[in-house]
Amino acid sequence: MTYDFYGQLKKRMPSAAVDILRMAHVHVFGLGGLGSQAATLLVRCGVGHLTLIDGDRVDGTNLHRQQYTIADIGNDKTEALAAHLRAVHPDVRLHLRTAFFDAASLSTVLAGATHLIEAVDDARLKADLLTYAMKHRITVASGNGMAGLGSVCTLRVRYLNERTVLCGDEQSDVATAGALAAGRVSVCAGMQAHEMIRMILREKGLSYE
Amino acid sequence: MINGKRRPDAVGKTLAAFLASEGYRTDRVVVEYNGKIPDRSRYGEIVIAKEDRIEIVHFVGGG
Repeated sequence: MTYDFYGQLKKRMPSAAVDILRMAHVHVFGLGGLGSQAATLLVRCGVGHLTLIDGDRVDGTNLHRQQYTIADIGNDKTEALAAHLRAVHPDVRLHLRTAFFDAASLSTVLAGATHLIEAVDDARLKADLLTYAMKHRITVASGNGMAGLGSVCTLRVRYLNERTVLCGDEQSDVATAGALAAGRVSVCAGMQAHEMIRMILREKGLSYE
Repeated sequence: MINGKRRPDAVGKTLAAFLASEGYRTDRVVVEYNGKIPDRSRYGEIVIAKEDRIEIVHFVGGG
C-alpha cells in the first residue's frame, strides 16, 4: 500500500495550494544548514520536484545544524538528503547535481530553472547567484546573514521585487561571528522555504496574508 | 533612493565610490539600478542622480 502523502497534506493545508505546490520545481543550491533544511520544509509542504545541488560530503561538523544523521557521514549530501526526503514523500521527483559550481558554470546547472533557493556559504557565490537569478527572472529566496548567537529578532525578510527575497540579518558573517546555531539557521531557512511557497502560490493567483 | 532611504550624500558619486564609502566589497555586492543589474565593470561609470532608485545587497558568508 503506498503512502498517501498528498491526501495527508491536504488535511492540514488548503487543497488548491497543495495542487499548485505539487507542480512546482525548485532548485536548492547548497545543501548545508540553509539548503538541507529549506529542501526538507519545501518537500513537507508538498513541492513536487526539486533539484538538489551540492558537491560536498556529510561531515561530523554538519550535524549540529543540518538535516543529516550520523549514518550519513562520509556520503554525498545530495544522496543523503534525497534519502531523507523520500522517507517523508516517497514519490517526490529529485534531480541530484553532485558537483561544485562557480559563476562561470551557473548556466549549466540553472538552465531552465524557475525557482531557486540560494543556500551556499560563500558571499561571492551568493552575489553571483542572486545576479544570475535576477537577470534570468528566476524566483529566488536568498539567505544572507544568519551566523552567530544573536537574537533571531534581527533576521528579516526583504523583498527587492515580487520574485526576489532576501532572508537574514544581512550582517552576521560566519567568518567574524565564529558560530552557527541550529535554531537561528533554521529560522532563516524557514523564512526562505516559506516565502518561496508564498511566491509560488502568488504567481498562480493564490495570496495569503 | 538607496535601499528605500533618501541618500542626498550619494548624489553625484559614482556607484563605485558610493559602495567604497559604505565599506561594501564589490565582489559581494548585487546592485539593482533603476530596475536593471549593471555589470560590475560599469560601477565606475555610473553617476548617481537624485531620481535614481537603487537597491544594494551586500552578502555575508554563511549558509
